[in-house]
Amino acid sequence: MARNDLQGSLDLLVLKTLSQIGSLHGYGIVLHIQRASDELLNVEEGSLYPALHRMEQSGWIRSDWALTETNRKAKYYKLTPAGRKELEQAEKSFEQLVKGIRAIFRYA
Amino acid sequence: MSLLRRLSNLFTRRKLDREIDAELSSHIEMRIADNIAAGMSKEAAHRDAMLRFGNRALMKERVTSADAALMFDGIARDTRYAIRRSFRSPAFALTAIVTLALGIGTNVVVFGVLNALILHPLNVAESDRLFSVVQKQHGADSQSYPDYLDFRSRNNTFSDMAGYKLYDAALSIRGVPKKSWFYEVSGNYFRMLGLRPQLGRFFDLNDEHVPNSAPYVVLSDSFWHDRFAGDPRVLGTTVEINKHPFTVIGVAPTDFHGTEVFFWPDFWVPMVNEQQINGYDYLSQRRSHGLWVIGKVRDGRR
Repeated sequence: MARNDLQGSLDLLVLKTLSQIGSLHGYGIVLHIQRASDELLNVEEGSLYPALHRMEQSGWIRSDWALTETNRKAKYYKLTPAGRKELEQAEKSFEQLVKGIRAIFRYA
Repeated sequence: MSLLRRLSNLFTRRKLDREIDAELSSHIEMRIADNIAAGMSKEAAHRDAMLRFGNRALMKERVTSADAALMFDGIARDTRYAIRRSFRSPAFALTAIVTLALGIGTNVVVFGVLNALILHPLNVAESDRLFSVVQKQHGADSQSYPDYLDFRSRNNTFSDMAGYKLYDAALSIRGVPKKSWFYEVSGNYFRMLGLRPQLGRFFDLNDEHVPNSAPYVVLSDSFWHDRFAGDPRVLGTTVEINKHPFTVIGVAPTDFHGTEVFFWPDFWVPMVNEQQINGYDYLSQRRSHGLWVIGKVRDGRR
């Protein structure tokens, strides 16, 4: 899951991560998704960047170059108010999707 | 993302390229560092990082296209934002608008001059044989009609000479008048210039007998299109110039705009009918100047 063919879910994961952590670089987002999902979700790391740039162009997130704790230059992403709204929407439709799928699973 | 940033994205492709490279590299380097910290050898750490990252060249291409695809997406939003902002600081907005207006205006004028002088020179055959005949006295350099007739009949330099005057008048089509600009020209004007009409015919010396004997009008190409929708049935129809009926007999060639650089006429009428249009007579007034004279030099006299 959460590969390029499931772009919507990847967007949701990234937006949710940024809403929880605040400011984070791409590598940090990958690590967070892996850890927080108990290693269930393995993002192909490179595929994160087209998504990040697309979301930045859409105005959901914005970026700044900054230094990491180990003094390395990295691009940090942050949620914008528009991104927060988008996240709410995405969460809602994701819950609908899960509800729907679950209902079908339980159908007997 | 601001419009400026979006535009600068377009023009600073290389800078953007480097930024994407730097971002992807920093990711891979952080992964390698973590791998080494976890106890991997340098080579294994590198290999693992590349494997996890996927095809780097492909990813870079996708990132670049993500940056480009939506570049102009938010223009409407930015425009609304700009308008709101300009209401908030009207002094600045006014300064910007005036600056732009002046700049654009200047460009229009410069283009207008270039257009007339360089892009649309006099479109007639052998234009290098045509000369204006002027008086030396500045400000009184045009001629009177009787003088023109004398010049024309008593010189050996020019094979022919023609005269024209610039005027404006109310031209009515089906009773609807509109201010128009035109030339009153001597009967030999079109023939001397060696022009052929694109439609109908030109008037010539044979049409002129006594004053007001040639109530004919030749339209310019743009006027024909603007007021008559380029309809060829315009030939033979009657229009009114300052309330006097004139018959449309022809349309000038597309690229002929008269013999003045900055005065493109809507139409041409024979000079013998000047009294009808102007309400006074200059043909017999030797001291009434205002007639511009051009002559075509004989072969070998240049």
